[in-house]
Amino acid sequence: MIEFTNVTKKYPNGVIGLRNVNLKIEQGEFVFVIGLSGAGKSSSLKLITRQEGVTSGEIIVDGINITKLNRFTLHKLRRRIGVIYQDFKLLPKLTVYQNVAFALEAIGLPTREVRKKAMYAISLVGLGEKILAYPNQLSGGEQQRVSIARAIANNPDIIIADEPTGNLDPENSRQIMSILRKLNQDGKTIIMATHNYNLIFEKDCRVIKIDQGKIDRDEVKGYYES
Amino acid sequence: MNLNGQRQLIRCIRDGFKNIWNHLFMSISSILTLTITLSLCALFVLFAENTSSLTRQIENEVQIFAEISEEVTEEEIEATIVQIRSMNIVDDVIFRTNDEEFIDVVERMTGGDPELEQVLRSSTDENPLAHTLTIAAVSAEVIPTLYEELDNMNTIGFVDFGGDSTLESLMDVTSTIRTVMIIIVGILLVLAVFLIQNTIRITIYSRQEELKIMQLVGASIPHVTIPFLIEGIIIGVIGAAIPIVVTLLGYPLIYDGSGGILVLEMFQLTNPEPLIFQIGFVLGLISIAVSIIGSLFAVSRYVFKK
Repeated sequence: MIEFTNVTKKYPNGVIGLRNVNLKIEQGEFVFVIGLSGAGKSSSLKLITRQEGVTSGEIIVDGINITKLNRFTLHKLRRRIGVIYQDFKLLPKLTVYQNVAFALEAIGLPTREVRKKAMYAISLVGLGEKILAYPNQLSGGEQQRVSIARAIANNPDIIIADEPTGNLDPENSRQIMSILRKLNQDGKTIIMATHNYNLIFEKDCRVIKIDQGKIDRDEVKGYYES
Repeated sequence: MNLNGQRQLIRCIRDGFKNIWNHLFMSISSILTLTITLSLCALFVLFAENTSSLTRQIENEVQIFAEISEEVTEEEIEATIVQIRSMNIVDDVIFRTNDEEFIDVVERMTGGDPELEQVLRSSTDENPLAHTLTIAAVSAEVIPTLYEELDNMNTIGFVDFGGDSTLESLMDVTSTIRTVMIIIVGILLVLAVFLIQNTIRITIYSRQEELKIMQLVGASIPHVTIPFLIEGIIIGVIGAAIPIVVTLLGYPLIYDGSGGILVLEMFQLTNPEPLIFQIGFVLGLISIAVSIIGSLFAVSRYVFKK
């Protein structure tokens, strides 16, 4: 469960990312976060992964007040959350397998476990035949699937996706949504920021619209209508 | 250490070498700076040790030479010796008669040639030399006081010592050289810290994306930072290797080659053992300390930043 209580995020340049936001997301929900550019979508996601700290208020993730975590305990939170980015953030000199394994090695898993989990995650996203390919040998959709494999490899409970289809064509976007949908059906909490309202219309999910740092609308388990 | 810990350590060492190879030029600069600095450190310690033992030897050699005045009776000479011996700044007093002195002088002048000796002895009817006292002081500092005391004694006609100004100037020179060397080594050590810091910083900068992803997927701070500390330590160990080996092999060679003597018999070099091992140990410690400090500076600025 994720809970925002009176969360405000103000950047040093004076821009306000979030204004006194209260929000509760239950385990297993699929939540779309929508809004205009600069509305506060990415800010809210970055606060959950503690890429940014709150200015005031508190955020609880699975019972942990993450605003109180320091740099030496932050990794405990991050291991519970998988993150997917619009620009994939793959390491170009590593193969598909190495990109996924790298994330598992980074948290100190034994080699055997790294191999097992990486191969499983890659097969889940349908890239089993491309484990030796480098990112520049893959299409955009395939690169995003590698990114998803890396995010889910350690079996996190929460997946944060920041515009995961932003750089993809409709067909690849559909494939990515299908994978995320399946992960959600497996019990993962998915929080996805997007501009693509068509994806939302296709799903029976919760939709949170943020405008100027505030929650403008929160449609729980219903179709979003503009 | 469990198997996982060993594997992590091996990974860190492997990454450390890989980073050094990837930034070879900067790494070589750091290694060379450390090598030069530590070589100077080794030279400095060897110099300091040998000059302090030299100073000690010279200090021990410092004595005052005094001549007994003419017309002084044997009783007065004995009383004078007793009086000088009773001074707490005097270590020893050696009395030599004028005959003994004369024999010495003749021997020095003739070089043992019997004919020359005959000529010299026939040229003078009586011994022109005075009885002498050689007085050893307890330390070099008390020499001026002792000189004054002896000079004021009626039974003493002439007092002389040549060691004080020589010793003082030698001590001044060695002290100045030591100070200059400490400053140079200090500056070079600081330079080495900054060079290592920059080398690690370049590695961190070139791997920023990778490090960011590592932290986002949940790598702990030690997991991210330890490879950089190990990279710094590897630079330190390589940088220290040459000066340590040169000290361990070079100084005994110099010592053996010179027979343990520097220019004059009285200037004896310090025995290589255990000195060279102590220097090697200290150089190793300095190199590791410098490399860890340099790495920590780099890591704290780039990895721990918000």
